Amino acid sequence: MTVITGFQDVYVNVADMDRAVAFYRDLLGLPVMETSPWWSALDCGGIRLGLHSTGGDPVPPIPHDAHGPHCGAVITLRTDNIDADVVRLTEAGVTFLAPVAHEPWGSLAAFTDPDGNILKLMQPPMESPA
Amino acid sequence: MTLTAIEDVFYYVSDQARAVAFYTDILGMRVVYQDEVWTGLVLRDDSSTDPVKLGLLAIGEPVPQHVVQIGERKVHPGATLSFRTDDIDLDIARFRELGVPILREIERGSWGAGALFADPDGNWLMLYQPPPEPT
Repeated sequence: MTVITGFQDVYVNVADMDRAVAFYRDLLGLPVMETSPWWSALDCGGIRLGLHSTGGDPVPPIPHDAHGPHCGAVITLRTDNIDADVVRLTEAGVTFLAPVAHEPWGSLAAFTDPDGNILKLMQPPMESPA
Repeated sequence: MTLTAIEDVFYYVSDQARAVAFYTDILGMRVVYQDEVWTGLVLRDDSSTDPVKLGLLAIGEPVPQHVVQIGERKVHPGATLSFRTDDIDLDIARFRELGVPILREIERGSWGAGALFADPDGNWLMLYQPPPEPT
């Protein structure tokens, strides 16, 4: 029987901790739970989004296409207003890989953090009126 | 800002049934949604109304293996999901008996203990045990 008790975090590698914390805190609006030169964690709706320092080495490019990365875990962040977020983040200089895709299961857009880590924004479909 | 949560964290898998067996039988998760290409799982005892979901997206072909070097350390590009445990030694011993690849043996520090393992598609996963609470 396993003794796994929970999700500890989901983390990405970053080269510049201050720059990364500023991005996730100021642009994505996530509260900082802990921060240090080698590890920081932000509260993303109850789960830690971790930032792991490479010690300054650049984060290697992540194979991807317009839909998202081809490997590793893919973090999808939920929003209740994807169009407003895409406009605001784009104005702030954030790179989106493609325009917002509207699918039956929700609206999705993939973007990159300052290290080239790829995240997805998703707005679930609106609840049907009861 | 209108970010509200992590919707999910997902990994690509080649064979959906094999992957689901790994995440349920070995890691103790349970399936909350499944269709032809997507499986959503939560931790077995998670009873919250809006639990964080692990997704498995079946692509029907081998999952590309990308390993890169950062400094002296081999890593895979992309994010890594970490599971929390209260007995990492027991879990890693059990994983080894079951043939789960252990990619990095248990390392210990003031931050706790961690080890790296892989699912049947070679996706990297962390196991982490927090340090004991100060008494």
